[in-house]
Amino acid sequence: MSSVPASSEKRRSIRWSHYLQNVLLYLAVVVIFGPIFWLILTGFKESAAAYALPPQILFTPTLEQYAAAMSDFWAPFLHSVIIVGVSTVICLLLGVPAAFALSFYHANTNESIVFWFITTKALPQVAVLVPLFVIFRTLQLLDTVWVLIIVFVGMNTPIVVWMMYQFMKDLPREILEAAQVDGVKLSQMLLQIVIPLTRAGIASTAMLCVIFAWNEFLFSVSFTSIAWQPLSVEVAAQQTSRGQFWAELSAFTTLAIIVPVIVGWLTQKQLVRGLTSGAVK
Amino acid sequence: MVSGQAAQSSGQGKTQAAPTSRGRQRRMLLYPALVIVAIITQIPFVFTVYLSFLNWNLTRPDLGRTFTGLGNYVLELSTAEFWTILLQTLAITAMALAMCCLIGLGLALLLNRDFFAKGLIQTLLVTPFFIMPVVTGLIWKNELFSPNFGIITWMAGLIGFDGFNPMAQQPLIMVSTMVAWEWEPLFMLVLLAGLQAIPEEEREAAQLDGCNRFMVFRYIELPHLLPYYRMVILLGTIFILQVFGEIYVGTAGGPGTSSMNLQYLTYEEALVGTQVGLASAIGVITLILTLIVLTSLLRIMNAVVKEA
Repeated sequence: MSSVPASSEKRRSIRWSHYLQNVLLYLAVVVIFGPIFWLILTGFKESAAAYALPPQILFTPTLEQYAAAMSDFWAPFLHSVIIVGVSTVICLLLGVPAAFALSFYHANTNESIVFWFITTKALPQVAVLVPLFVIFRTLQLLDTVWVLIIVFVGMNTPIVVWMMYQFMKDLPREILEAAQVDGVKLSQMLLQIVIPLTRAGIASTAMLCVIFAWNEFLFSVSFTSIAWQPLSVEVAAQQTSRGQFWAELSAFTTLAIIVPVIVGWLTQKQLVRGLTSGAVK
Repeated sequence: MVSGQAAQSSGQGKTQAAPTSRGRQRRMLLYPALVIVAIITQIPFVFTVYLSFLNWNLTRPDLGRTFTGLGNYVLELSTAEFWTILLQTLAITAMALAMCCLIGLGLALLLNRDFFAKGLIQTLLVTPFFIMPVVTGLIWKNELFSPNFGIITWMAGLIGFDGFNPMAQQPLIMVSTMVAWEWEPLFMLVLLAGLQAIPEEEREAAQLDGCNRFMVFRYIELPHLLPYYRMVILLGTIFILQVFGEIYVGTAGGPGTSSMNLQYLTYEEALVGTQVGLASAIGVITLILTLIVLTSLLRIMNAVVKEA
Protein backbone atom coordinates (compact mmCIF):
# COMPACT_ATOMS: atom_id res chain seq x y z
CA MET A 1 0.00 0.00 0.00
CA SER A 2 2.88 2.33 0.73
CA SER A 3 4.70 2.05 -2.60
CA VAL A 4 3.71 4.33 -5.47
CA PRO A 5 3.39 1.67 -8.24
CA ALA A 6 0.96 -0.38 -6.19
CA SER A 7 -1.31 2.58 -5.62
CA SER A 8 -1.34 3.57 -9.29
CA GLU A 9 -2.16 -0.01 -10.16
CA LYS A 10 -4.96 0.09 -7.67
CA ARG A 11 -6.22 3.32 -9.20
CA ARG A 12 -6.19 1.71 -12.63
CA SER A 13 -8.18 -1.25 -11.41
CA ILE A 14 -10.67 1.14 -9.85
CA ARG A 15 -11.01 2.93 -13.18
CA TRP A 16 -11.54 -0.36 -14.98
CA SER A 17 -14.19 -1.39 -12.53
CA HIS A 18 -15.81 1.99 -13.10
CA TYR A 19 -15.95 1.38 -16.85
CA LEU A 20 -17.24 -2.14 -16.36
CA GLN A 21 -20.01 -0.86 -14.11
CA ASN A 22 -20.93 1.75 -16.73
CA VAL A 23 -21.19 -0.96 -19.37
CA LEU A 24 -23.44 -3.03 -17.10
CA LEU A 25 -25.61 0.01 -16.53
CA TYR A 26 -25.95 0.70 -20.26
CA LEU A 27 -26.94 -2.91 -20.78
CA ALA A 28 -29.54 -2.55 -18.06
CA VAL A 29 -30.92 0.54 -19.79
CA VAL A 30 -31.23 -1.43 -23.04
CA VAL A 31 -33.06 -4.29 -21.34
CA ILE A 32 -35.28 -2.18 -19.12
CA PHE A 33 -36.04 0.89 -21.22
CA GLY A 34 -35.60 -0.87 -24.56
CA PRO A 35 -39.16 -2.30 -24.77
CA ILE A 36 -40.67 1.16 -24.20
CA PHE A 37 -38.31 2.77 -26.70
CA TRP A 38 -39.17 0.11 -29.26
CA LEU A 39 -42.90 0.61 -28.69
CA ILE A 40 -42.55 4.34 -29.36
CA LEU A 41 -40.40 3.67 -32.43
CA THR A 42 -42.90 1.16 -33.85
CA GLY A 43 -45.63 3.80 -33.72
CA PHE A 44 -43.72 5.79 -36.34
CA LYS A 45 -43.36 2.88 -38.81
CA GLU A 46 -45.37 1.85 -41.85
CA SER A 47 -47.77 -1.01 -41.12
CA ALA A 48 -45.67 -3.65 -42.87
CA ALA A 49 -42.38 -2.34 -41.46
CA ALA A 50 -43.64 -2.98 -37.93
CA TYR A 51 -43.58 -6.71 -38.61
CA ALA A 52 -40.29 -6.77 -40.47
CA LEU A 53 -37.71 -9.28 -39.21
CA PRO A 54 -34.88 -8.57 -38.68
CA PRO A 55 -36.37 -5.47 -37.06
CA GLN A 56 -35.81 -2.22 -38.89
CA ILE A 57 -33.91 0.39 -36.94
CA LEU A 58 -33.48 2.91 -39.73
CA PHE A 59 -36.67 3.87 -41.53
CA THR A 60 -38.54 6.95 -42.71
CA PRO A 61 -40.85 7.92 -39.88
CA THR A 62 -44.52 8.42 -40.64
CA LEU A 63 -47.35 9.98 -38.64
CA GLU A 64 -49.89 7.82 -40.44
CA GLN A 65 -50.39 5.50 -37.45
CA TYR A 66 -50.98 8.39 -35.07
CA ALA A 67 -53.53 9.87 -37.45
CA ALA A 68 -55.34 6.52 -37.51
CA ALA A 69 -55.11 5.98 -33.76
CA MET A 70 -56.43 9.44 -32.87
CA SER A 71 -60.05 8.70 -33.74
CA ASP A 72 -60.38 6.25 -30.85
CA PHE A 73 -58.11 8.16 -28.54
CA TRP A 74 -59.82 11.42 -27.60
CA ALA A 75 -62.92 10.09 -25.85
CA PRO A 76 -61.17 7.69 -23.43
CA PHE A 77 -58.37 10.23 -22.95
CA LEU A 78 -60.89 12.85 -21.83
CA HIS A 79 -62.57 10.29 -19.56
CA SER A 80 -59.22 9.54 -17.94
CA VAL A 81 -58.36 13.23 -17.54
CA ILE A 82 -61.70 14.01 -15.89
CA ILE A 83 -61.82 10.93 -13.65
CA VAL A 84 -58.17 11.15 -12.59
CA GLY A 85 -58.23 14.93 -12.18
CA VAL A 86 -61.40 15.13 -10.09
CA SER A 87 -60.51 12.13 -7.93
CA THR A 88 -57.02 13.49 -7.24
CA VAL A 89 -58.37 16.90 -6.19
CA ILE A 90 -60.85 15.24 -3.83
CA CYS A 91 -58.09 13.02 -2.40
CA LEU A 92 -56.00 16.11 -1.62
CA LEU A 93 -58.95 18.00 -0.13
CA LEU A 94 -59.60 15.07 2.19
CA GLY A 95 -56.09 13.84 2.80
CA VAL A 96 -54.08 17.01 3.37
CA PRO A 97 -56.23 18.33 6.26
CA ALA A 98 -56.30 14.84 7.78
CA ALA A 99 -52.52 14.57 7.58
CA PHE A 100 -52.27 18.03 9.15
CA ALA A 101 -54.52 16.99 12.02
CA LEU A 102 -52.51 13.81 12.54
CA SER A 103 -49.06 15.37 12.38
CA PHE A 104 -49.79 18.59 14.24
CA TYR A 105 -51.98 17.60 17.17
CA HIS A 106 -50.43 15.63 19.96
CA ALA A 107 -52.59 12.57 20.40
CA ASN A 108 -51.71 9.03 21.36
CA THR A 109 -53.76 7.54 18.59
CA ASN A 110 -52.18 9.50 15.72
CA GLU A 111 -49.69 6.80 14.81
CA SER A 112 -52.32 4.09 14.85
CA ILE A 113 -54.72 6.12 12.70
CA VAL A 114 -51.97 6.67 10.13
CA PHE A 115 -51.27 2.94 10.31
CA TRP A 116 -54.97 2.20 9.78
CA PHE A 117 -54.92 4.29 6.62
CA ILE A 118 -51.95 2.24 5.35
CA THR A 119 -53.61 -1.07 6.18
CA THR A 120 -56.52 -0.20 3.88
CA LYS A 121 -53.99 -0.56 1.06
CA ALA A 122 -53.37 -4.17 2.10
CA LEU A 123 -57.02 -4.95 1.46
CA PRO A 124 -57.01 -6.73 -1.93
CA GLN A 125 -59.13 -5.04 -4.57
CA VAL A 126 -61.08 -8.24 -5.12
CA ALA A 127 -62.12 -8.31 -1.47
CA VAL A 128 -64.40 -5.33 -2.21
CA LEU A 129 -64.94 -5.80 -5.95
CA VAL A 130 -68.22 -7.72 -5.74
CA PRO A 131 -70.13 -5.58 -3.21
CA LEU A 132 -68.99 -2.38 -4.94
CA PHE A 133 -70.29 -3.82 -8.21
CA VAL A 134 -73.61 -4.76 -6.62
CA ILE A 135 -73.94 -1.37 -4.88
CA PHE A 136 -73.05 0.65 -7.98
CA ARG A 137 -75.41 -1.48 -10.04
CA THR A 138 -78.25 -0.85 -7.60
CA LEU A 139 -77.55 2.89 -7.54
CA GLN A 140 -77.28 2.82 -11.35
CA LEU A 141 -73.81 4.34 -11.17
CA LEU A 142 -72.08 1.74 -13.36
CA ASP A 143 -70.48 3.28 -16.44
CA THR A 144 -70.98 6.86 -15.20
CA VAL A 145 -68.36 9.47 -14.46
CA TRP A 146 -68.88 9.02 -10.71
CA VAL A 147 -68.12 5.37 -10.28
CA LEU A 148 -64.37 5.52 -10.82
CA ILE A 149 -64.05 8.88 -9.08
CA ILE A 150 -65.58 7.34 -5.96
CA VAL A 151 -63.40 4.25 -6.18
CA PHE A 152 -60.17 6.18 -6.78
CA VAL A 153 -60.90 8.51 -3.84
CA GLY A 154 -61.08 5.45 -1.61
CA MET A 155 -57.97 4.01 -3.21
CA ASN A 156 -55.71 7.10 -3.09
CA THR A 157 -56.78 9.11 -0.03
CA PRO A 158 -54.81 6.78 2.28
CA ILE A 159 -51.71 7.41 0.16
CA VAL A 160 -52.19 11.17 0.50
CA VAL A 161 -52.60 10.89 4.27
CA TRP A 162 -49.53 8.71 4.59
CA MET A 163 -47.20 10.74 2.39
CA MET A 164 -48.36 14.16 3.62
CA TYR A 165 -48.03 12.94 7.21
CA GLN A 166 -44.35 12.20 6.50
CA PHE A 167 -43.78 15.55 4.81
CA MET A 168 -45.55 17.52 7.55
CA LYS A 169 -43.74 15.77 10.36
CA ASP A 170 -40.49 17.13 8.90
CA LEU A 171 -41.68 20.74 9.26
CA PRO A 172 -39.93 22.75 11.97
CA ARG A 173 -42.25 22.67 14.99
CA GLU A 174 -41.21 26.13 16.17
CA ILE A 175 -42.96 27.87 13.30
CA LEU A 176 -46.25 26.16 14.04
CA GLU A 177 -45.96 26.62 17.77
CA ALA A 178 -45.15 30.30 17.37
CA ALA A 179 -48.19 30.74 15.17
CA GLN A 180 -50.28 28.89 17.72
CA VAL A 181 -49.11 31.15 20.55
CA ASP A 182 -50.00 34.14 18.39
CA GLY A 183 -53.54 32.76 18.22
CA VAL A 184 -53.55 32.05 14.50
CA LYS A 185 -56.62 30.03 13.59
CA LEU A 186 -56.08 26.46 12.49
CA SER A 187 -57.60 26.91 9.09
CA GLN A 188 -55.27 29.86 8.52
CA MET A 189 -52.32 27.91 9.82
CA LEU A 190 -53.05 25.14 7.34
CA LEU A 191 -53.67 27.45 4.40
CA GLN A 192 -51.02 30.08 5.02
CA ILE A 193 -48.18 28.17 6.68
CA VAL A 194 -48.37 24.42 6.26
CA ILE A 195 -49.57 24.13 2.66
CA PRO A 196 -47.06 26.68 1.26
CA LEU A 197 -44.24 24.94 3.15
CA THR A 198 -45.14 21.49 1.87
CA ARG A 199 -45.92 22.53 -1.72
CA ALA A 200 -43.33 20.20 -3.23
CA GLY A 201 -44.63 17.29 -1.15
CA ILE A 202 -48.23 18.00 -2.14
CA ALA A 203 -47.23 18.16 -5.80
CA SER A 204 -45.45 14.81 -5.71
CA THR A 205 -48.28 13.21 -3.73
CA ALA A 206 -50.79 14.47 -6.28
CA MET A 207 -48.65 13.08 -9.07
CA LEU A 208 -48.48 9.67 -7.41
CA CYS A 209 -52.29 9.67 -7.19
CA VAL A 210 -52.46 10.58 -10.89
CA ILE A 211 -50.16 7.69 -11.83
CA PHE A 212 -52.03 5.11 -9.74
CA ALA A 213 -55.46 6.27 -10.92
CA TRP A 214 -54.43 6.59 -14.58
CA ASN A 215 -52.98 3.08 -14.66
CA GLU A 216 -55.66 1.31 -12.58
CA PHE A 217 -57.33 -1.49 -14.46
CA LEU A 218 -59.39 -3.98 -12.40
CA PHE A 219 -62.01 -1.53 -11.09
CA SER A 220 -61.96 0.35 -14.39
CA VAL A 221 -62.74 -2.69 -16.50
CA SER A 222 -65.32 -3.98 -14.01
CA PHE A 223 -67.31 -0.76 -13.51
CA THR A 224 -67.22 0.93 -16.93
CA SER A 225 -68.01 -0.26 -20.43
CA ILE A 226 -68.84 2.18 -23.22
CA ALA A 227 -69.88 5.56 -21.93
CA TRP A 228 -67.06 6.24 -19.48
CA GLN A 229 -64.28 3.77 -20.07
CA PRO A 230 -60.84 5.26 -19.26
CA LEU A 231 -57.69 4.81 -21.32
CA SER A 232 -56.49 1.68 -19.52
CA VAL A 233 -59.68 -0.16 -20.51
CA GLU A 234 -59.48 1.22 -24.04
CA VAL A 235 -55.89 -0.02 -24.43
CA ALA A 236 -57.04 -3.53 -23.55
CA ALA A 237 -59.94 -3.23 -26.01
CA GLN A 238 -57.65 -1.90 -28.74
CA GLN A 239 -55.29 -4.81 -28.21
CA THR A 240 -58.18 -7.07 -29.23
CA SER A 241 -59.56 -4.97 -32.08
CA ARG A 242 -56.32 -3.61 -33.52
CA GLY A 243 -54.14 -6.59 -32.68
CA GLN A 244 -53.54 -7.12 -36.39
CA PHE A 245 -52.27 -3.57 -36.81
CA TRP A 246 -49.22 -3.53 -34.59
CA ALA A 247 -47.89 -0.15 -35.70
CA GLU A 248 -51.24 1.52 -35.11
CA LEU A 249 -51.61 -0.19 -31.76
CA SER A 250 -48.12 1.00 -30.79
CA ALA A 251 -49.03 4.58 -31.65
CA PHE A 252 -52.21 4.33 -29.61
CA THR A 253 -50.38 2.82 -26.66
CA THR A 254 -47.68 5.48 -26.77
CA LEU A 255 -50.36 8.16 -26.54
CA ALA A 256 -51.93 6.32 -23.60
CA ILE A 257 -48.75 6.24 -21.51
CA ILE A 258 -47.51 9.79 -22.11
CA VAL A 259 -49.23 11.39 -19.12
CA PRO A 260 -48.15 8.98 -16.36
CA VAL A 261 -44.63 8.69 -17.76
CA ILE A 262 -44.02 12.44 -17.83
CA VAL A 263 -45.66 12.91 -14.45
CA GLY A 264 -43.52 10.08 -13.11
CA TRP A 265 -40.30 11.53 -14.49
CA LEU A 266 -41.05 14.84 -12.79
CA THR A 267 -41.77 13.32 -9.42
CA GLN A 268 -39.36 10.39 -8.97
CA LYS A 269 -37.11 12.00 -6.36
CA GLN A 270 -39.84 13.34 -4.08
CA LEU A 271 -41.72 10.10 -4.44
CA VAL A 272 -39.01 8.06 -2.78
CA ARG A 273 -38.60 10.61 -0.03
CA GLY A 274 -42.29 10.47 0.79
CA LEU A 275 -42.36 6.69 0.69
CA THR A 276 -39.23 6.00 2.71
CA SER A 277 -39.01 8.70 5.36
CA GLY A 278 -40.58 7.46 8.54
CA ALA A 279 -41.24 4.03 7.09
CA VAL A 280 -37.59 3.13 7.59
CA LYS A 281 -36.70 2.83 11.23
CA MET B 1 -64.15 4.61 18.91
CA VAL B 2 -60.47 5.07 18.36
CA SER B 3 -60.95 8.58 17.12
CA GLY B 4 -63.08 9.48 20.12
CA GLN B 5 -60.19 8.70 22.44
CA ALA B 6 -57.89 10.61 20.16
CA ALA B 7 -60.07 13.67 20.37
CA GLN B 8 -60.06 13.56 24.16
CA SER B 9 -56.36 13.13 24.44
CA SER B 10 -55.53 15.81 21.92
CA GLY B 11 -55.75 18.33 24.75
CA GLN B 12 -52.67 16.79 26.36
CA GLY B 13 -50.39 18.57 23.91
CA LYS B 14 -48.29 21.59 24.64
CA THR B 15 -51.14 23.83 23.62
CA GLN B 16 -52.64 26.12 26.17
CA ALA B 17 -55.69 27.07 24.12
CA ALA B 18 -59.03 25.54 24.99
CA PRO B 19 -58.51 21.80 24.44
CA THR B 20 -62.09 20.97 23.54
CA SER B 21 -62.24 23.43 20.66
CA ARG B 22 -58.87 22.17 19.44
CA GLY B 23 -60.18 18.63 19.62
CA ARG B 24 -63.23 19.59 17.63
CA GLN B 25 -61.08 21.28 15.01
CA ARG B 26 -58.91 18.19 14.79
CA ARG B 27 -61.94 16.01 14.28
CA MET B 28 -63.26 18.30 11.57
CA LEU B 29 -59.98 18.03 9.70
CA LEU B 30 -59.54 14.31 10.18
CA TYR B 31 -63.04 12.82 10.03
CA PRO B 32 -63.97 13.47 6.40
CA ALA B 33 -61.00 11.43 5.16
CA LEU B 34 -61.47 8.78 7.84
CA VAL B 35 -65.18 8.35 7.21
CA ILE B 36 -65.00 8.36 3.43
CA VAL B 37 -62.12 5.89 3.27
CA ALA B 38 -63.97 3.63 5.71
CA ILE B 39 -67.15 3.83 3.64
CA ILE B 40 -65.42 3.06 0.35
CA THR B 41 -63.00 0.39 1.54
CA GLN B 42 -64.03 -1.17 4.86
CA ILE B 43 -67.80 -1.30 4.80
CA PRO B 44 -67.96 -3.02 1.39
CA PHE B 45 -65.74 -5.72 2.85
CA VAL B 46 -68.33 -6.47 5.55
CA PHE B 47 -70.81 -6.75 2.69
CA THR B 48 -68.40 -9.12 0.89
CA VAL B 49 -68.44 -11.46 3.87
CA TYR B 50 -72.25 -11.42 3.87
CA LEU B 51 -72.45 -12.06 0.11
CA SER B 52 -70.00 -14.94 0.39
CA PHE B 53 -72.65 -16.89 2.30
CA LEU B 54 -75.20 -16.51 -0.51
CA ASN B 55 -75.94 -18.45 -3.64
CA TRP B 56 -76.68 -15.59 -6.02
CA ASN B 57 -76.28 -15.40 -9.78
CA LEU B 58 -76.81 -11.88 -11.13
CA THR B 59 -77.94 -13.03 -14.55
CA ARG B 60 -80.41 -15.56 -13.13
CA PRO B 61 -82.80 -13.45 -11.01
CA ASP B 62 -85.32 -16.31 -11.27
CA LEU B 63 -83.14 -18.41 -8.97
CA GLY B 64 -83.18 -15.67 -6.36
CA ARG B 65 -80.79 -15.35 -3.47
CA THR B 66 -80.46 -18.29 -1.16
CA PHE B 67 -78.40 -18.66 1.96
CA THR B 68 -75.85 -21.44 1.66
CA GLY B 69 -73.74 -20.88 4.75
CA LEU B 70 -70.20 -21.95 4.05
CA GLY B 71 -71.28 -23.63 0.81
CA ASN B 72 -69.29 -21.33 -1.45
CA TYR B 73 -66.15 -21.83 0.60
CA VAL B 74 -66.54 -25.59 0.61
CA LEU B 75 -67.18 -25.56 -3.13
CA GLU B 76 -64.02 -23.56 -3.86
CA LEU B 77 -61.69 -25.15 -1.35
CA SER B 78 -62.60 -28.66 -2.51
CA THR B 79 -61.48 -28.14 -6.10
CA ALA B 80 -57.90 -28.87 -7.08
CA GLU B 81 -58.04 -25.98 -9.53
CA PHE B 82 -58.54 -23.46 -6.75
CA TRP B 83 -55.49 -24.66 -4.85
CA THR B 84 -53.42 -24.58 -8.02
CA ILE B 85 -54.47 -20.98 -8.62
CA LEU B 86 -53.71 -20.11 -5.02
CA LEU B 87 -50.22 -21.59 -5.39
CA GLN B 88 -49.80 -19.74 -8.68
CA THR B 89 -50.65 -16.47 -6.92
CA LEU B 90 -47.91 -17.15 -4.40
CA ALA B 91 -45.47 -18.31 -7.09
CA ILE B 92 -45.91 -15.15 -9.18
CA THR B 93 -45.41 -13.01 -6.09
CA ALA B 94 -42.36 -14.92 -4.88
CA MET B 95 -40.63 -15.01 -8.27
CA ALA B 96 -41.33 -11.36 -9.01
CA LEU B 97 -40.20 -10.28 -5.54
CA ALA B 98 -36.99 -12.27 -5.81
CA MET B 99 -36.18 -10.69 -9.18
CA CYS B 100 -37.03 -7.22 -7.87
CA CYS B 101 -34.80 -7.67 -4.80
CA LEU B 102 -31.79 -8.79 -6.84
CA ILE B 103 -32.13 -6.48 -9.85
CA GLY B 104 -33.12 -3.54 -7.68
CA LEU B 105 -30.03 -4.03 -5.52
CA GLY B 106 -27.73 -4.44 -8.52
CA LEU B 107 -29.02 -1.28 -10.15
CA ALA B 108 -28.91 0.68 -6.90
CA LEU B 109 -25.26 -0.29 -6.40
CA LEU B 110 -24.44 0.68 -9.99
CA LEU B 111 -26.23 4.00 -9.66
CA ASN B 112 -24.64 4.94 -6.34
CA ARG B 113 -21.54 6.39 -8.02
CA ASP B 114 -20.65 9.44 -10.05
CA PHE B 115 -20.75 8.95 -13.80
CA PHE B 116 -21.77 10.66 -17.01
CA ALA B 117 -25.51 11.35 -17.56
CA LYS B 118 -26.48 9.81 -14.21
CA GLY B 119 -29.83 11.62 -14.00
CA LEU B 120 -30.88 10.57 -17.49
CA ILE B 121 -29.95 6.94 -16.94
CA GLN B 122 -31.77 6.78 -13.63
CA THR B 123 -34.84 8.35 -15.25
CA LEU B 124 -34.86 5.78 -18.05
CA LEU B 125 -34.49 2.92 -15.55
CA VAL B 126 -37.41 4.18 -13.46
CA THR B 127 -39.82 4.46 -16.40
CA PRO B 128 -41.44 0.97 -16.27
CA PHE B 129 -42.93 1.88 -12.89
CA PHE B 130 -45.15 4.47 -14.60
CA ILE B 131 -46.38 2.19 -17.38
CA MET B 132 -49.94 0.81 -17.28
CA PRO B 133 -50.07 -2.90 -16.39
CA VAL B 134 -52.19 -3.50 -19.50
CA VAL B 135 -49.46 -1.92 -21.62
CA THR B 136 -46.87 -4.19 -20.03
CA GLY B 137 -49.02 -7.15 -21.01
CA LEU B 138 -49.32 -5.80 -24.52
CA ILE B 139 -45.56 -5.27 -24.85
CA TRP B 140 -44.80 -8.81 -23.68
CA LYS B 141 -47.48 -10.43 -25.79
CA ASN B 142 -46.78 -8.57 -29.04
CA GLU B 143 -43.50 -6.72 -29.16
CA LEU B 144 -41.23 -9.13 -27.30
CA PHE B 145 -42.72 -12.62 -27.40
CA SER B 146 -45.19 -12.74 -30.27
CA PRO B 147 -44.66 -16.08 -32.04
CA ASN B 148 -44.82 -14.24 -35.37
CA PHE B 149 -42.94 -10.98 -34.98
CA GLY B 150 -41.66 -10.74 -31.39
CA ILE B 151 -38.12 -9.44 -31.09
CA ILE B 152 -37.03 -11.94 -28.47
CA THR B 153 -38.75 -14.78 -30.33
CA TRP B 154 -36.76 -13.74 -33.40
CA MET B 155 -33.50 -13.62 -31.42
CA ALA B 156 -34.22 -17.04 -29.95
CA GLY B 157 -34.78 -18.33 -33.48
CA LEU B 158 -31.39 -16.96 -34.53
CA ILE B 159 -29.64 -19.06 -31.93
CA GLY B 160 -31.61 -22.14 -32.80
CA PHE B 161 -34.69 -22.15 -30.57
CA ASP B 162 -37.49 -22.90 -33.00
CA GLY B 163 -41.06 -22.72 -31.78
CA PHE B 164 -40.03 -20.43 -28.93
CA ASN B 165 -43.31 -19.27 -27.41
CA PRO B 166 -42.84 -18.70 -23.68
CA MET B 167 -46.17 -16.88 -23.24
CA ALA B 168 -47.84 -20.24 -23.89
CA GLN B 169 -45.11 -22.55 -22.62
CA GLN B 170 -44.04 -20.74 -19.43
CA PRO B 171 -46.87 -18.29 -18.73
CA LEU B 172 -46.20 -18.11 -14.97
CA ILE B 173 -42.58 -17.12 -15.48
CA MET B 174 -43.62 -14.62 -18.13
CA VAL B 175 -46.17 -13.01 -15.80
CA SER B 176 -43.51 -12.83 -13.08
CA THR B 177 -41.06 -11.12 -15.42
CA MET B 178 -43.70 -8.59 -16.41
CA VAL B 179 -44.38 -7.79 -12.79
CA ALA B 180 -40.68 -7.66 -11.94
CA TRP B 181 -40.06 -5.29 -14.83
CA GLU B 182 -42.74 -2.95 -13.53
CA TRP B 183 -41.78 -3.03 -9.85
CA GLU B 184 -37.98 -3.20 -10.07
CA PRO B 185 -37.74 0.63 -10.27
CA LEU B 186 -39.36 1.02 -6.86
CA PHE B 187 -36.90 -1.42 -5.31
CA MET B 188 -34.03 0.35 -7.07
CA LEU B 189 -35.08 3.80 -5.86
CA VAL B 190 -35.71 2.77 -2.28
CA LEU B 191 -32.46 0.79 -2.01
CA LEU B 192 -30.57 3.65 -3.64
CA ALA B 193 -32.00 5.99 -1.01
CA GLY B 194 -30.75 3.50 1.57
CA LEU B 195 -27.25 3.42 0.11
CA GLN B 196 -27.12 7.20 -0.04
CA ALA B 197 -28.08 7.44 3.61
CA ILE B 198 -24.90 5.60 4.69
CA PRO B 199 -22.35 8.12 6.00
CA GLU B 200 -19.30 8.14 3.70
CA GLU B 201 -17.00 7.95 6.76
CA GLU B 202 -18.27 4.47 7.56
CA ARG B 203 -17.20 3.20 4.14
CA GLU B 204 -13.87 5.00 4.35
CA ALA B 205 -13.16 3.67 7.82
CA ALA B 206 -13.89 0.14 6.64
CA GLN B 207 -11.62 0.59 3.64
CA LEU B 208 -8.81 1.91 5.85
CA ASP B 209 -9.21 -1.21 7.95
CA GLY B 210 -8.48 -3.20 4.80
CA CYS B 211 -11.99 -4.18 3.73
CA ASN B 212 -12.39 -4.84 0.02
CA ARG B 213 -15.46 -3.83 -1.97
CA PHE B 214 -17.32 -7.02 -1.19
CA MET B 215 -16.62 -6.76 2.54
CA VAL B 216 -17.81 -3.16 2.56
CA PHE B 217 -21.01 -4.38 0.97
CA ARG B 218 -21.40 -7.35 3.28
CA TYR B 219 -20.62 -5.66 6.60
CA ILE B 220 -21.50 -2.00 6.06
CA GLU B 221 -24.03 -1.62 3.27
CA LEU B 222 -26.17 -4.75 3.53
CA PRO B 223 -27.00 -4.41 7.25
CA HIS B 224 -27.87 -0.80 6.62
CA LEU B 225 -30.15 -1.74 3.72
CA LEU B 226 -32.18 -4.33 5.62
CA PRO B 227 -34.83 -1.90 6.97
CA TYR B 228 -35.19 -0.48 3.45
CA TYR B 229 -35.64 -4.00 2.13
CA ARG B 230 -38.26 -4.68 4.78
CA MET B 231 -40.23 -1.62 3.79
CA VAL B 232 -40.07 -2.13 0.04
CA ILE B 233 -40.79 -5.87 0.25
CA LEU B 234 -43.92 -5.24 2.28
CA LEU B 235 -45.09 -2.55 -0.12
CA GLY B 236 -44.22 -4.69 -3.13
CA THR B 237 -46.00 -7.76 -1.73
CA ILE B 238 -49.22 -5.82 -1.19
CA PHE B 239 -49.29 -4.74 -4.81
CA ILE B 240 -47.81 -7.82 -6.48
CA LEU B 241 -50.30 -10.18 -4.81
CA GLN B 242 -52.95 -8.16 -6.66
CA VAL B 243 -51.51 -8.27 -10.16
CA PHE B 244 -54.29 -8.19 -12.74
CA GLY B 245 -53.83 -6.04 -15.87
CA GLU B 246 -50.65 -7.83 -16.95
CA ILE B 247 -52.42 -11.18 -16.83
CA TYR B 248 -55.63 -9.88 -18.43
CA VAL B 249 -53.85 -8.65 -21.55
CA GLY B 250 -50.71 -10.78 -21.53
CA THR B 251 -52.07 -14.29 -21.08
CA ALA B 252 -55.77 -13.95 -20.16
CA GLY B 253 -54.97 -16.35 -17.34
CA GLY B 254 -54.09 -19.11 -19.76
CA PRO B 255 -53.40 -21.35 -21.42
CA GLY B 256 -56.32 -22.84 -19.51
CA THR B 257 -55.92 -21.50 -16.01
CA SER B 258 -52.16 -21.93 -15.89
CA SER B 259 -51.32 -18.27 -15.29
CA MET B 260 -54.34 -17.20 -13.25
CA ASN B 261 -54.06 -15.73 -9.82
CA LEU B 262 -56.79 -15.27 -7.22
CA GLN B 263 -57.41 -11.73 -8.39
CA TYR B 264 -58.12 -12.92 -11.91
CA LEU B 265 -60.23 -15.84 -10.71
CA THR B 266 -62.43 -13.50 -8.66
CA TYR B 267 -62.84 -11.20 -11.63
CA GLU B 268 -63.88 -14.14 -13.81
CA GLU B 269 -66.36 -15.50 -11.29
CA ALA B 270 -67.82 -12.07 -10.58
CA LEU B 271 -67.91 -10.26 -13.91
CA VAL B 272 -67.90 -13.11 -16.41
CA GLY B 273 -69.72 -15.82 -14.45
CA THR B 274 -71.79 -13.31 -12.39
CA GLN B 275 -71.55 -15.69 -9.45
CA VAL B 276 -71.75 -13.06 -6.73
CA GLY B 277 -71.54 -15.42 -3.78
CA LEU B 278 -68.72 -17.54 -5.12
CA ALA B 279 -66.66 -14.51 -6.16
CA SER B 280 -67.15 -12.95 -2.74
CA ALA B 281 -65.93 -16.11 -1.05
CA ILE B 282 -62.76 -16.04 -3.16
CA GLY B 283 -62.34 -12.35 -2.29
CA VAL B 284 -62.51 -13.18 1.41
CA ILE B 285 -60.03 -16.04 1.00
CA THR B 286 -57.71 -13.67 -0.90
CA LEU B 287 -57.77 -11.21 1.98
CA ILE B 288 -57.00 -13.96 4.49
CA LEU B 289 -54.13 -15.17 2.34
CA THR B 290 -52.81 -11.60 2.00
CA LEU B 291 -52.87 -11.12 5.75
CA ILE B 292 -51.10 -14.44 6.36
CA VAL B 293 -48.41 -13.63 3.80
CA LEU B 294 -47.87 -10.10 5.11
CA THR B 295 -47.70 -11.01 8.79
CA SER B 296 -45.36 -13.94 8.24
CA LEU B 297 -43.12 -11.85 5.98
CA LEU B 298 -43.06 -9.07 8.53
CA ARG B 299 -42.22 -11.49 11.32
CA ILE B 300 -39.35 -13.04 9.35
CA MET B 301 -38.00 -9.68 8.26
CA ASN B 302 -38.21 -8.18 11.72
CA ALA B 303 -36.16 -11.09 13.02
CA VAL B 304 -33.57 -10.60 10.27
CA VAL B 305 -33.33 -6.85 10.85
CA LYS B 306 -32.98 -7.32 14.58
CA GLU B 307 -30.22 -9.88 14.18
CA ALA B 308 -28.17 -7.68 11.85
